[in-house]
Amino acid sequence: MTPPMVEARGLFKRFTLPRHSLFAASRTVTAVEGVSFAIPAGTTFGVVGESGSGKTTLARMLLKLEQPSEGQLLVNDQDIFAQTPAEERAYRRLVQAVFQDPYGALSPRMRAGAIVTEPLRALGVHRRAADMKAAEVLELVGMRRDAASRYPHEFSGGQRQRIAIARALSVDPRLLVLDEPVSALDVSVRAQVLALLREMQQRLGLTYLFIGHDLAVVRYLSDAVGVMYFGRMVEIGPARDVLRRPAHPYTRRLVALAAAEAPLGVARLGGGTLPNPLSPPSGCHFRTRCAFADARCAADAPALREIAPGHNAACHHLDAIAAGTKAETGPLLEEASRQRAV
Amino acid sequence: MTQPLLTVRDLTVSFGPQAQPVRAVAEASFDLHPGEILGIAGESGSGKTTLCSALIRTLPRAARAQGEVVFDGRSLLDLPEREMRGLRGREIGMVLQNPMTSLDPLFTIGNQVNEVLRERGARDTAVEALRRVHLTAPELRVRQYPHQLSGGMRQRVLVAMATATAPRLLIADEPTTALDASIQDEILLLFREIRDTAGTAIIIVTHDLAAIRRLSDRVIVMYAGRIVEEGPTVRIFHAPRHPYTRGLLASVPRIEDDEVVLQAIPGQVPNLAELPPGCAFADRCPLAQDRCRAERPGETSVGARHRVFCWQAEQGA
Repeated sequence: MTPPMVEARGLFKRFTLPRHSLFAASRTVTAVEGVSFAIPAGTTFGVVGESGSGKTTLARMLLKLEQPSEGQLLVNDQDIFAQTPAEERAYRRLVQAVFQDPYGALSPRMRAGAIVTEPLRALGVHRRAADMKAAEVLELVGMRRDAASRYPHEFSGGQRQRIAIARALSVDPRLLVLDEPVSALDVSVRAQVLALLREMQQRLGLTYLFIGHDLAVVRYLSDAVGVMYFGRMVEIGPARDVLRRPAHPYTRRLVALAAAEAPLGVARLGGGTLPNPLSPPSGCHFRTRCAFADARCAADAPALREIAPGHNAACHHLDAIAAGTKAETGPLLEEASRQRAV
Repeated sequence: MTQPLLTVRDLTVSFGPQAQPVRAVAEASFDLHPGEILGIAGESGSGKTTLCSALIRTLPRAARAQGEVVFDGRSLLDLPEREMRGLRGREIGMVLQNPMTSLDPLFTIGNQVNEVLRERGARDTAVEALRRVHLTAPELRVRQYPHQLSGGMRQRVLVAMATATAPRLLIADEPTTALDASIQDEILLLFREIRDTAGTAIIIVTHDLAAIRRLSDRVIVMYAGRIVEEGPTVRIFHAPRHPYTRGLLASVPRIEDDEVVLQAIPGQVPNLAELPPGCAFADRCPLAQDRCRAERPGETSVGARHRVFCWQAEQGA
């Protein structure tokens, strides 16, 4: 079996917050907690989760914008946080990113041609060669040739996102980190950009890490999907399995909400609350919003376990929920009982 | 049939020079009945937000609104500003885009909610108003500042303020756009609850088709400043007649299907300053004929309260 292009092994990322006062204990927020996954070359790994789930932190680590507190991130079998300067330069060329906001991502003072060639120029490529490459990638993403001499404000949101994709492709990367690349776009344009991303992957054999909150969009592009909840990977597996036969109560809820015919209130839950990232609930993080929570959920954090080939979920009650025999006990808001802790 | 609460006739909002106006909204006509939820769908630049601003007269100075807007027997476009101010907030509530910036960061939630309640002469206390929108621990929230609340909570606060005096009409512009799916669902439920308990008519403006399908009774689809289709929600989503509506629905990936397919609408939204003489959608339309490019389509009725502005509406029904 060929080794995966990207492999995360037990990744942690903790952020330390400024102290309230000199004598206060420093507070930490764990944005990513023990996350592992692998992305085979030429495939897409989609990460879904709500805001605050840690999915963007994951993307930033792969781009080397954040350093993990613990764990390893390997790309082509090389630990990207133990690189020599030469290796790092090569890596910066290998990985590129496209972000959510096509309005903020492009400098308003630069022409599209200059925007697209900037990464190349930074790598020391000669101007004439860079300009030729710019024309080539702009054409690749379906822009007209004269686009190179125009400014970002002259383009619509969808066209700007095409320019951002062209800029990412200009250095011939092998790996693209796509952080909500279509969330800010109109519905009809979104479909065009998604189709473009899929086409680019097929033509150039790219590997994608795709971050999104829209399950249908993630499913369209992804081969495998990981579902994150408050820093933890709660379910991971082939996209079709995870999104058609979701096992974890959180994934089940997301899928129910994403269904085209879902009625209003399909996932309504009495009394559930979002956890505070500064003092996350004991045991399973989802228990404060889960319909099936019980004492065990407050006591132990469930580990991922395999329920079908390659399909893992982290929940104590997977079998009972799948069989439909688990009683809906409602969310559990209290901490694990004190006696146990003492 | 009851009297409509709101009647809009040939509403046009134009910007720019008189001789060559750019029409952000052109000849929009529709009715809204008491207790009805109307969804207005459209992409950016379709004129849906401008239409709402025209109804409550919060357009920028440079804009000119023509036509007729009658709310409960009063013509809103001719009302003196003082009377209009009395209507806003009391009889017409508003929840605007962006819950992050609609609250003042320097005042507590209780402070801001109380101010609104006092000004409108509501008898509720801030805590009661917040409890009504199912905000957890309202006694705590009134002492907190906006930054201590999540996006969903802030949106609830805004809804509580907008509905403090049980308005007869509530206008919500992209009320759930920045929110996570499960919170979105709860905010939409809240709107329905307000309708069911207070009989408030609601206009919800959004590009999120799923939100409109779940909440509204009737849907208006706008394209390049014009209404292109209007009908009952079920009809619009199951038997759309305008090629743009169809294209829009086909470009949303569906999670249930075995293989997810996407049908993008080719091309882009036209520039409002350079609209063709015919149908604005003709350039992107798979059914367009010569007539579509030359002549603007008129209204065709294609069923009970279902109308469409398209020359090819009879085709492929």
